[in-house]
Amino acid sequence: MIFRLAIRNLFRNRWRSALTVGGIAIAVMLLVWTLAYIEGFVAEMVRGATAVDIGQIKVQNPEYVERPSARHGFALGTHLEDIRAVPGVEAVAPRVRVYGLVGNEDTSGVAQIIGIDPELEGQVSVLDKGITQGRWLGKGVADGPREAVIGERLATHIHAKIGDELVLFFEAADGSLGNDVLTIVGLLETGNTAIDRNAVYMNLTDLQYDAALEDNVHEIVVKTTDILAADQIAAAMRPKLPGLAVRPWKEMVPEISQMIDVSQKSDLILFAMVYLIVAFGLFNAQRMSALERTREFGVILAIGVKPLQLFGTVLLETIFVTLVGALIGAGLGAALSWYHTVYGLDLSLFSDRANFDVMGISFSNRLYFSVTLNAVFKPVIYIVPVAFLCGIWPAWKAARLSAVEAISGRT
Amino acid sequence: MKWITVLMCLVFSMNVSAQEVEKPLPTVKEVTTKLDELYRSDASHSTVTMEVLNDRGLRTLELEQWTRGKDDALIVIRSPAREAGTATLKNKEGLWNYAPRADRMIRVPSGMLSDSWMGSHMTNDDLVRESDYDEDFKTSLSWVNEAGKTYLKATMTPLPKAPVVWEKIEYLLDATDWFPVRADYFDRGKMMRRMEFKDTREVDGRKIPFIMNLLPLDKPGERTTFKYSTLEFDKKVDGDLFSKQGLRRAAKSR
Repeated sequence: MIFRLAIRNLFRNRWRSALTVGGIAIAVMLLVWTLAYIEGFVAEMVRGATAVDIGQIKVQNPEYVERPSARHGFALGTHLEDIRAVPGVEAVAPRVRVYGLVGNEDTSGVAQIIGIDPELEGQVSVLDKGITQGRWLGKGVADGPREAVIGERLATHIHAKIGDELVLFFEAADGSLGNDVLTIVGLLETGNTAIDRNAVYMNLTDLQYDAALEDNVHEIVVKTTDILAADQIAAAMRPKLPGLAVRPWKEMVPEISQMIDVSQKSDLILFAMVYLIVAFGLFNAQRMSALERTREFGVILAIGVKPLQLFGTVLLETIFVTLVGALIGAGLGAALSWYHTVYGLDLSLFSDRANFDVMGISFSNRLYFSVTLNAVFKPVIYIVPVAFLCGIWPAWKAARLSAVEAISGRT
Repeated sequence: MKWITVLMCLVFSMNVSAQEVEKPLPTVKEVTTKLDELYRSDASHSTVTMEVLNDRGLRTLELEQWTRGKDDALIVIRSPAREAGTATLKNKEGLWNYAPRADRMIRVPSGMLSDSWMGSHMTNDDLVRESDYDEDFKTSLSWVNEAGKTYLKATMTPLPKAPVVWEKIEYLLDATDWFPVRADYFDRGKMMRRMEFKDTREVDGRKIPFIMNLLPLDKPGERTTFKYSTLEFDKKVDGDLFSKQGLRRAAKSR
């Protein structure tokens, strides 16, 4: 009965109810949209940091971690197979990395030269998807020209284009000077500044030869099935890799891991601020609505309705209004965020800069949102206690009314 | 008796310092020009053994080197076989490394002058001398006494915009012939490396140290030694040796 009474009461003053519902809906919609924005941003940070270069887990010679010098490699042995056998590991790829000078007779730049297995690399990183011009590295033919894919910004810096030769000069593992000439077959843009500005990718075996590395590599990159379980999977890998450093991404880019923690905490502050404003509006509306009906409540009490039932009716009104508003808001918010998930949000609306870098991750002016359950339902769940708090006071006042005084208007 | 000894000592030391004060300082220009031309003269041709000792062990390179005037220099690695033919060329247009395996040259940006040359502790600038003691530094001279010997000390601070990474260089020079004995390089108030000059020989009437020993002070135990096997001055060098074609020819010949 209280249920039906509450609904009827709400429909009696449609304008007031509609405005309250609308206010809550807009607040929730904005929250959903903001959360989806933040999650999209964080996802992009994590993706930019891990999916391009460092991977989710990296296996290295501990000395290389200390001082990245070409000679601090390690023999591959059966490590690839051993790591693949660890539960939770999706893919592995070996890499060689040396630092040197790349360019031509007219211009050159400092670069990191990374030797990769094109096929395995495609399984652990998104490098091959970052190709903006030309193509990804081929499988490598014994006598064919050796190929290179370089970062787009590096290419601009050294005035190189597809089809050009690229001369490499670097310190090899034995201290001698490695050198080679490659043909540029592709340019790539990954969003990772260090890669876009400084990286040259070539075939692993070519670079192992050039750098006098024999069969040694500098790192094994591991992709896991669950990026958040990387720490545990790394721990499971360690016993199989004695003498090697096994580092999950949170250890390699602690600043990004910290940023995620901070952004989750700042979500709470956002909720607190928005819902405080919502609470005042909601409280005002419900209190007014209850006050107007003092005489009516008196009659209800007089005909024998128990105060507890009246309390329930008034409280339910508030909760209904809030829930309806929140659900509409969540729906609208999810729809709007979904649009921005698919088409992205043009950030150039807010800034005239074409793109920007945050912690070495570059963002284009189109940010893609991420609509998660968390983003859609957190605002709905968090508004429930707000509704209770705002509804209890008017309901309590109504239930405590004395029928005689209320009817006579002497309250 | 004791008193007399002390007195004698005092008189004697006063005498020595008096002598030093009397000896006139050469002009800055004379000294810096001498240092600039020490291994170069108008033209030079030399063969050098370079030893690099670092944390991965000892590496020995044989180098052949030509210079002409202030601007031109060419260094070709002759051994070991793996690196034979690798070369560095400097001329008025810039600085290049030559990769023999690829048969290609790569320009070394001027920002990398202070970077290590071919994995040694020497910098590109040490080898091909982009900077010039005469033009790029403000130099002050003084007499100093070390271990009972008198030296001429040249304290050089680079002028603004000079292509030099050091804050200060202190040269210790032989008092009469002004050939270097030692050079200390400072950066941010700290001595970063020391170059020792040894085995001074006479070439064409000039005294030239044949061994240069470079000690990076931030890496104790490491060194690069530069030892001249032959050094000739003012021989006529082939006109286009310091060009890209000349470099290729020199790098490929033996």
